[in-house]
Amino acid sequence: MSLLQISEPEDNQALKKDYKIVVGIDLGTTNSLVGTVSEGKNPVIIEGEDDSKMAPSAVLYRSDGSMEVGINRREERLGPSDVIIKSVKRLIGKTYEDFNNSVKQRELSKKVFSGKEIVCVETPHGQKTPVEVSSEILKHLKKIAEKKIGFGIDGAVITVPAYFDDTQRQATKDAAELAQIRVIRLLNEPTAAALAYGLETKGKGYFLVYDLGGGTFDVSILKLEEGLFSVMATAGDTQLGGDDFDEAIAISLSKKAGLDYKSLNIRDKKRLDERAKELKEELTENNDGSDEVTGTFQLEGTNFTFNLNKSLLANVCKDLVEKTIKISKDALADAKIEISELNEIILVGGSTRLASVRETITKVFNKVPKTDLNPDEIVCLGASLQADSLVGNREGKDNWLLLDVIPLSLGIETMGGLVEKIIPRNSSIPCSETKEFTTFKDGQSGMMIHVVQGERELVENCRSLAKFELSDIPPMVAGKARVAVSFNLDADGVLSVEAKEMTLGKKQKVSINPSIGLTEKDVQQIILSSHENAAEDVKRRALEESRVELTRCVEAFESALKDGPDILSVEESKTVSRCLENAKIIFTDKGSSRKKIEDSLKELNLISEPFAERRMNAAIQKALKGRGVDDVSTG
Amino acid sequence: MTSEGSSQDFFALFGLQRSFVVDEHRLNSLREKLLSETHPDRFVSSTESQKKVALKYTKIINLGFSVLVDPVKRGVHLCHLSGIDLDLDNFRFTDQIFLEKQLEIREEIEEVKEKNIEGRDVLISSIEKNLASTFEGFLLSLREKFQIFLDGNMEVVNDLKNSLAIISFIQKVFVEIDDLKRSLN
Repeated sequence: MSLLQISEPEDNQALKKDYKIVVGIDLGTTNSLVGTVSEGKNPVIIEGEDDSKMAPSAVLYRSDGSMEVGINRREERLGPSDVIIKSVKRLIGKTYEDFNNSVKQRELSKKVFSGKEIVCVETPHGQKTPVEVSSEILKHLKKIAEKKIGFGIDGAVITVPAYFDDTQRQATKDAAELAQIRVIRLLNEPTAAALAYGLETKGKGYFLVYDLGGGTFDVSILKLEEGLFSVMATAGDTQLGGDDFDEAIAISLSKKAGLDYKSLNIRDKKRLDERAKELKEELTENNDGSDEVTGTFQLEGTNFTFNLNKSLLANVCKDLVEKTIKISKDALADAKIEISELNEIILVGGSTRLASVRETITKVFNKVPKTDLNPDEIVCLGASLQADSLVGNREGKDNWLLLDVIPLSLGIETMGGLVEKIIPRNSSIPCSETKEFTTFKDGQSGMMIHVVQGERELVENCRSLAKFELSDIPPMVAGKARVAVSFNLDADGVLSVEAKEMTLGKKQKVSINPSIGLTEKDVQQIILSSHENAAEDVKRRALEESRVELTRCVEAFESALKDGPDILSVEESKTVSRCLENAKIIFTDKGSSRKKIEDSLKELNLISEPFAERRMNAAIQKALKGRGVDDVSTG
Repeated sequence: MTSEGSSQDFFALFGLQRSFVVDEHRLNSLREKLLSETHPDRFVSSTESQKKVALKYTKIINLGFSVLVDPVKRGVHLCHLSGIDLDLDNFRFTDQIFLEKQLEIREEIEEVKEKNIEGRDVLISSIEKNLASTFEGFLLSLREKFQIFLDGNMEVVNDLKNSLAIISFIQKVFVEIDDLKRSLN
């Protein structure tokens, strides 16, 4: 259910009746962008008040209780107790344990949430979860968009790294809900980029999208055709990005200057990383031919001089770049595509500006990567286009279909802590798969279903998504009971799992909700408590939404009937007409209760289902027939 | 079309004749053609029931593709369509030669873990190459056997089962090697 602001009808008169105002959001590690599709059907980035297209993904919590979002402030310009949270995307959907023994853990705190220690950051406003910090960034972007567009937005497509796991995706959705943004779809970043690129250039063939952002690395292999974008494979590392390059440079520079990086406190480390980043950018953007930049760094009254030249930079980045190349090759292998078959390589993310990245890619793939579109903006443009498509603003040749995959295998734990994969990585979504399991002890009455995600064979090396127990299995000898475990992935890549005991037919179903995020109830609570009249608002909106839905449903059904009236028998036609007339009366009557509207909607859906099925079968037969006699006979 | 995968003929779904030989490239283009008609994103403005049907059909098509594209699942499905349930999960190898080969492969994988980085990569790629050629060999013989089977000769069923179990085992070893590579990185 969406909790959006519904603009008053009079505001909407200028717009086409069914046209929806939607945005695309690139929620980046370093910078975030919001875009939309203009009347001319072209995607545009929406500029903020300061005319900048990018808002830094930073939230400044001041000790006086105020907060500022989307500003770039260097550590040294902060008040002594102010805290600025950057790169929160690297923390979202992670447990405290995930950062065990890492440098990061020391600057993080934890909060126990439904039995798990989730990672938090300390601010003068108290402990904040990554979901809360991210929602502040999203709220900021929403404000920018609504101000420019002049209307409330109906929803957003938000991009995530392709390699985000289920928990990270759920956490991103929570952040959006907290910001009161209806998520139309979570879209993988490289997919969004390929979509924008493909539509802009009309390119066709096999594409490799190399996406190196501030904190994450993704690579996707796509096949682009007219009106069809199909992801063949995706791979990545959610803990590898520009931040790591900066840190590596900082470590190398401080070593040369006689500084011990490891012994510095967190704030000094951050300052040093920032300095390294500035030098890196200066050197990368340097067009005057010089290949060295110099900078100073002050620590406890002492000045240190740093010299960064191109060969040192390339050297420091070498291992990290190598890692991305290896991952890219894995993705190609999964897609069963040879390097020579690639038509183009698209670079995405600010970190792909590094000369050593471009040079290595050119060498390894024997092709100069494409940089026609701004690597910082392309993801947001793609998200805006997909949002426009997914709410039905586009039709016919103006529209396209995007087939995406899940990045990581999904499975359950079996004996000995091993993982049995149920849906392998790079499976096309939406999909479902069922596997049967049995008991291992005589008379065993319960079975623990532990859902995990990842490629590794051992449960301990995979991400735990959920655990639930199927009980009341009738007593049988070991190996006799049959339990069917079904995995269902919707078009968002969001998972639900069902376990069914086959002899008695006892079913248990779980939606894999964020095991380390917020529950739906928490989110509702936070939203409700933020408005005085929220409860009333929610009710009013729900009523309005069901009315809109019923109207839409009647229209859609009528238009489908117009396309294929012969699919219904005379008898069926009568029932359908009666039901449609009844629905029209209900949605026109302002006094109709929500229950009345929803009952009518239910009835309509029930009646139209067999019709929908017949229609779909006809479409399938037509599609198969359309491919020539030759194809069939050689099958 | 029903939602129960067990009663579905995936060859018919894709408009293909029953055969163990499937051209992956063509199968994929058929999948795309079908999904272009059924994908839920095609029905964003339709009725709920139309969306429900779209989701159901799309899942069946994706499931059908995953069955037809995989030689083991494809083989099991072909037998299933002829009324024979192979139950590969509970299959025990009796073929002495392959049992020895299995042991050999296990030992080689153990060996990988003890090597240094360079030796490792060489050994892994040699194991992979070996396995791939064994795999191809069995695939070829399966093609012939399935031809005989589909012509109505049921005597080859045990042979089919044995060969499918072997390529299924090799597939699992490939997954294991993949995991090994990931753990070494």
